Amino acid sequence: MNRTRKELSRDLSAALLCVVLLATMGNACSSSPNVVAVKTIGTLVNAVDLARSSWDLYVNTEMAKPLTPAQTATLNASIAKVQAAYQDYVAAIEVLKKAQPGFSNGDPVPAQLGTAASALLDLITTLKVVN
Amino acid sequence: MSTAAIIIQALLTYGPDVAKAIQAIFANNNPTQADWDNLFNLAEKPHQWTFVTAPVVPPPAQVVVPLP
Repeated sequence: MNRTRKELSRDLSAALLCVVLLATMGNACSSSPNVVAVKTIGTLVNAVDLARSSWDLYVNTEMAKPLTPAQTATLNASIAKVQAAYQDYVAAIEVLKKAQPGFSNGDPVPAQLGTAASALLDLITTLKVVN
Repeated sequence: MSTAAIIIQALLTYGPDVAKAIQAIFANNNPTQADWDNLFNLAEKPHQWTFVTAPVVPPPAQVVVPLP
C-alpha cells in the first residue's frame, strides 16, 4: 500500500513538474522555436515515460494480489482504458515526427501531443486514486 | 522557478537519471536531429504490456448443514 501511495505521489509530482516546466517555457521568448519545442516535448515525453513505468508497477502489484473476479474485471477495464489512451499518445508522436522538421522554421507544435499526454497522465492518476 | 531549481526538484523526486535527462534537455540550446531522435525513441520505447497473472480467488465453500 505504501508503495502504491509513493508511486501515486510520484505521478502527481510528475504532472505538477510538467505544468511548471511548461509554464517556465513561457519565459523562453528569446529561444528559437526549435529549442522551445524540444524542451517542451522533452519534458512531456519524460513525464509520460515516468507515469507509464509507474502504471506498470501498480498493475503488476495489484495483479499479484488474490483478486476476486469482479476486481479482476475492474482492473482489466482500467488497463484497457490506459492502453487506449496510450495508443492516442503514440499516434500523437507519429504526427509530431512528421511535423518536427518544420519547428526550426517556426511551425507550431501540434496540439495533439499535449492533449494526448495530458489525457494519459490524468487517466493514470485518476485510476490509481480510484483503485 | 529557475532551471536549476527545477532540476534539483527532479533530482529529489525522481532520482539522478530523470534529473540528468531534464538537465540535458534544458542545457540544449541547439537541438540536433539526433536529440529529436532520442526523444522519439524514448516515446516509442517498446512497451511490455505483459502483466503477471492474478491468482484466482476460489469461491467460498458451501457449508452443508446435515439434515436432522
